[in-house]
Amino acid sequence: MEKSILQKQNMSGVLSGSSILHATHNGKGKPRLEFALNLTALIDAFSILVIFLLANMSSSNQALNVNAKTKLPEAHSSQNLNPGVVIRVDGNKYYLEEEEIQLGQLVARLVKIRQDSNDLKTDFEKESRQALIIQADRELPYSVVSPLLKAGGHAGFNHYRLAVLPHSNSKE
Amino acid sequence: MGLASGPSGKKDLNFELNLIPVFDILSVCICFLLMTVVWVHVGSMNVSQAIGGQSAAETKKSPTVWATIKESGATEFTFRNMEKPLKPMRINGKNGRIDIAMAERVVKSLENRGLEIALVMPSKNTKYNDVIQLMDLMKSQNLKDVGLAPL
Repeated sequence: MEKSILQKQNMSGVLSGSSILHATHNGKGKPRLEFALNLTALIDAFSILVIFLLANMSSSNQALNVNAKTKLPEAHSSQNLNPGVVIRVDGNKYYLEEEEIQLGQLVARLVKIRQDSNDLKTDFEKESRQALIIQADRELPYSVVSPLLKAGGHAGFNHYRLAVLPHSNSKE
Repeated sequence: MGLASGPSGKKDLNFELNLIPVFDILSVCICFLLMTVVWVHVGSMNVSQAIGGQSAAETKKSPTVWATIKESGATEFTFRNMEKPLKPMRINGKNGRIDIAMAERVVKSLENRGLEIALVMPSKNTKYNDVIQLMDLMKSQNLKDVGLAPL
């Protein structure tokens, strides 16, 4: 009797289909079951994940939370953004490392940050606390940014990094 | 899922999940995210503090250009410690903002004048973008140091 299509098809699953069952020798001995799993798909997915993470990590050394409404100024002569203490200006509010702060408290907080940096173990960590990163919208008046420079100067910061976008040729 | 016949002839129900389509969807999703995510590469413009702790007597007198931005957007370039004295240069503002095109011409004309340091002194109403643009122009002339003065 001719078998139907369903009967002819292999009804075993992928895992069981890829398993190899060694027959016993003359009916004696235990059958050995070897399990082989096809890893090509797994390796493919993980390699894509690794490439994604590599591309994400190599973009810059300092992660900035840029507000959607904030448009950073553009500059041709920009450099890589190295780590530092981040001060963000959002309207009339100031955020020191994502914590809202009043201008009157800024100097004291910056001084404390510089003092705490002496307790850091590695030179890289110490260096990362020596610079002040200022992030502000391009249309803000300079009177909003100037107090940050003054406060940084009072606290002993010598290096300032103004967050900018590398200039592109595209027209907005 | 697969059905296998056991030794007694009864059909055993073994639940097996085929993971290949799962990995396929996962990789497609990741590729989609890679293509559509917006990469914002943030750079930095490094500036030095214009008001330093060093005394005036100790500070080395390097040829310096001072760019003072007025409230009207007009910019005045003055020169100090130059080997050959230079007259101040002034450009008018444009709609209350710096005329970047004119500023670029002025800054390019200062090439090979031996300038080492530039100092930008904005006014309180000067737009932050204009300050950055002017500093960018200064840096493009390979000046050793570009400073920014607070108000």
